[in-house]
Amino acid sequence: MLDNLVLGFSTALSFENLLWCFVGVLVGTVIGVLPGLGSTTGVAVLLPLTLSLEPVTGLIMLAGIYYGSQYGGTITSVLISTPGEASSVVTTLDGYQMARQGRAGAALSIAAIGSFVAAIISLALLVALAPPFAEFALDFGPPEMLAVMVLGLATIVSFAGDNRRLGLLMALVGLLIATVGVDPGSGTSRFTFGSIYLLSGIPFVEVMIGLFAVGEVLYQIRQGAAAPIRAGFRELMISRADLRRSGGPILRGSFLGFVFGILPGAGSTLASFMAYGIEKRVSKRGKEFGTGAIEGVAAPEAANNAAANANFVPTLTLGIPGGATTAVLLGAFMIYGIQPGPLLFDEQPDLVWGLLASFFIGNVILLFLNLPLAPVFAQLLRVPYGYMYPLILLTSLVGAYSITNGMYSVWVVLVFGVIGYFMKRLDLPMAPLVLGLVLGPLFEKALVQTSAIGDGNLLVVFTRPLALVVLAIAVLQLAAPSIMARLLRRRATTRSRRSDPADSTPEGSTRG
Amino acid sequence: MTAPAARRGIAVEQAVVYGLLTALGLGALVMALDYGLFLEESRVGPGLVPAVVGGLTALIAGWELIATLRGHRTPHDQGLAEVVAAAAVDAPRGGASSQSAAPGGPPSGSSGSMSPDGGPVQILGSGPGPDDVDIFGRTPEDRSRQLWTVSAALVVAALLVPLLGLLGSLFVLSVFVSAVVERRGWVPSLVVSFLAVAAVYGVFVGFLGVPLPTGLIGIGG
Amino acid sequence: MKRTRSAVLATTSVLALSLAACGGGESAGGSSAGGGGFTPRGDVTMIVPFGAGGGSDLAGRATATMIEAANGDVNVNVENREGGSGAVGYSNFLGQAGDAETLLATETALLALPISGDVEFDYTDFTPIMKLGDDYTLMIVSADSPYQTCPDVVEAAKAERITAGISGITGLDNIVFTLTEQQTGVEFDRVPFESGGELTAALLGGQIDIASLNPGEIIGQLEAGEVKALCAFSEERYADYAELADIQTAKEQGIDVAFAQFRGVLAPGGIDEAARQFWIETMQAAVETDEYQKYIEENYLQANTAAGDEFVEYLEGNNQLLKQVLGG
Repeated sequence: MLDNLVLGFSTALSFENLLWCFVGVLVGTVIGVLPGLGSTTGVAVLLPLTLSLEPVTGLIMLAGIYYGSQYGGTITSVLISTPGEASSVVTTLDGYQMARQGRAGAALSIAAIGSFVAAIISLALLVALAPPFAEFALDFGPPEMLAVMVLGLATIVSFAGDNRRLGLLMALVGLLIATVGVDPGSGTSRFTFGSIYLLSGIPFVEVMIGLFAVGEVLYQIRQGAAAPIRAGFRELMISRADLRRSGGPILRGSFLGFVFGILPGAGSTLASFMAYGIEKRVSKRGKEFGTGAIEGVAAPEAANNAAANANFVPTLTLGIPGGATTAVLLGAFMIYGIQPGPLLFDEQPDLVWGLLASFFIGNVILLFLNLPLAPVFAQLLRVPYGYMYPLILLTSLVGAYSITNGMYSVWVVLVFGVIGYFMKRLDLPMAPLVLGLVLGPLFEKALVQTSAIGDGNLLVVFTRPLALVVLAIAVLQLAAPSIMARLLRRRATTRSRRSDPADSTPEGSTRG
Repeated sequence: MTAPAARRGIAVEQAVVYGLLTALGLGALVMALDYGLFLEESRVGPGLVPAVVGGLTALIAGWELIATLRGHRTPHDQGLAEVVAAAAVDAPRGGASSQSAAPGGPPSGSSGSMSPDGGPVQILGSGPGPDDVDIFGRTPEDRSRQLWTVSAALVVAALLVPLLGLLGSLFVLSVFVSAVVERRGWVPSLVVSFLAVAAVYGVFVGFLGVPLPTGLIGIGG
Repeated sequence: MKRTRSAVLATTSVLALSLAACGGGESAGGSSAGGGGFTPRGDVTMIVPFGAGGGSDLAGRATATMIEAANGDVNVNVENREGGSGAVGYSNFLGQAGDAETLLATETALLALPISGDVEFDYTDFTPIMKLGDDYTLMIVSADSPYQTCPDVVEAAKAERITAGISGITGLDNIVFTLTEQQTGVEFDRVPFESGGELTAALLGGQIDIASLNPGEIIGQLEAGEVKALCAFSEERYADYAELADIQTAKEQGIDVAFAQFRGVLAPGGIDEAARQFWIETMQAAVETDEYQKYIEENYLQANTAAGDEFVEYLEGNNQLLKQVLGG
């Protein structure tokens, strides 16, 4: 084990590899900032650029792009409420509110720190326990995934804001949107009305750009220009109290993210939503969530970063991609002439361990790059919104176009921009809709598969112990929150009275 | 005077949304029944999930619709209400309405249907309430007009893409929004828009190699 | 590494240039009626009707490099137009009729989409240029499975329930399973998945009994001994690949089923004969390049090419077979 690590670091620390790791992280961050370009597109589009490099170096650069672009997405989530991918949607809930209170610097810093800690924890787990975890992931067949999806949908309770019925309604709307297109079981085209564009469903990234970026712009225009957010130097920096508050959420988020990240499919999105939900329950400041609580940024950011790393468990040990981006990375392996699969660790030790070591180095670079830059990025908010929103609209629309190279994407963005505007006006919570939209196809696929495996009998779920455990957790989450919350809050209030005088944040938006 | 009008305004807007969602859910349910709930051997069919989801959507949205029509609704601080309220009283009131009148009308004047936690909600840092003039001295009606102008401009820009190309048409959009809607000078608007479009061109076309449409007159390929 | 690669590139492009020159000479002599006077003006666009990073994208990008290697005067830009499982890309391509500067990286969706009935084109609306190769599938079971041959599975299916993972209704795997069922009269119980990776995980986790996967998708697990290949649903064995050469074809084992996903190049409909000839000759030169060999080998394809009219014939036959399977 130690030999392997030494081998890995000696590979990754060569000048050339360090340089390209840095370039990858930097370019990735820029890609992530552009709306419409998430880590998957970033890696796919820049893949040809790496072909002239050595395979290890190329992969190191691509991995740098992978987590660089995730952090880039966090920057826009916090500053202009535009998540780069589904897994950073949750970050907008509190991150954007923090930014509006002049605390964007702290939000970006805690995201960088949380991501870093999560990366280190998940890398340690990955190095030490990848094979058994991979076996564990294989035990998750369709019935188990169905149970996980039920658990995921149960977290909607945490995102419904004050009115659970509205949260449920929005989640249902998300699920309904997700059913558009060719169904997974029989190949029937549903709700397509003869349009070829709708065959593959309503595209998710475009919906997000519309709801979040364009919707927020329209809403801000109606709200009127505010004085630019002026924050003192002290507020730009992350405070010691912030760090103390975020420790627990980051640790919990990291482990949660790792476990969900191993599961193929919606790993990191689900992980970030679950982490937020759990913190909201557990935290003594549960009420503040959605109004700019730093825990609401720390936990999901840690979770989605841990999940991104955990995605490499099945990718490297089994040769099965853990997510969309790792699927593209597997394609890159093939282009380099490396056969991904179970033998990779034995046949290409310098490559695998070099890659793993570069994850560590890349995350260090990311931290050192972004901690000083966080206050600088936060300064962007000093630009009056009236100057900024034409630029947001411009990049959103070009970004949307670049997803499919077609105007259809642009129209989807505009339509959902208007929908997003009205949702904000009427206080309809957006996070449940996104969750429904993400989980909908996975839920339905698991349902169809389970029904096929059980030969038409869905009750087969109850014969699988692992699925039963997951379902039990879901039931607990639905049934017991009030009890749990009451217990925890009673304990918390007595403590917080003493420790935290800066607790008097004014009541904020109830969105989310 | 303001309160009943405001309340009616909220009710109208909510009723429309919930009505639409109810219709959407029912429509989905009916169409989904057509797709078939189950396949042979009682396998889950293409219609099952949309039918259940559509049905539940119609149920909850319908519930909310009825509650809204009967006056039991969740309170809101921003919405059509202010437009109605402002339109009703704003002409005599003129530009500077006071902070105390904001937002959402006086909650105390309403009946028991308002929940206790429905007080005014304000995001710190976004200065003006919905009824106030903002830092540029724009009234709610001004801003409402701006919203419509920008929305319309977005649609027009998208329609112009086949003619002007994507970047060409977005350049026009950016200039229009900066100079006409935000009333900045023509020169800075042109310069900033040009720089923004050039930067976008550099990143998307130059670096990422995304082929953007050039339009008939070939701008911004 | 960097240097060697560019050196290879340089030599191949020299080679390719001379080849293209030969091709050009032939066309000038051979097709005097068509003129041979066509050369593309400006850059050529290669449309890939699927997203970046997938198999179709790899094929499109590889074809672009092949063409550039074969004819140094041609510059090819790849453009992904995804949506509707390929329907958006093909439908856009329909609108490019007469534009000989646009090509499309095609595969079985060209035939499967029209049969499913949601689109307004079929293969006769386009100008088939060249088939590049065939991607067959192997019948795969997990290593501890009791079956040794494909007939073992068929035999078992007569007595008990065999669950077969498929990657979609119009997927290649569903097609070969259906053909096998029609041949032997047994029935496999389908469990729908969405990719080769998901199928592999399900096989390893014991969720399904059999799957039918492209060699390129499963070679890693195959070499590690975690799964075994029972037979290849191909006309010929994979003789060119040492690691696959021992796998018998289904036909050898007595099941007459072979079906490939083809990879090829289409030009839009309504282009003139000179342009068609130009592209056919360019592609004939392209499949002689090292880039072509590299693409075929890395993706474990069988290098069965068919140019122009041969490709059209192939499409006709394939279309009949598909219609019979998908019930169009």
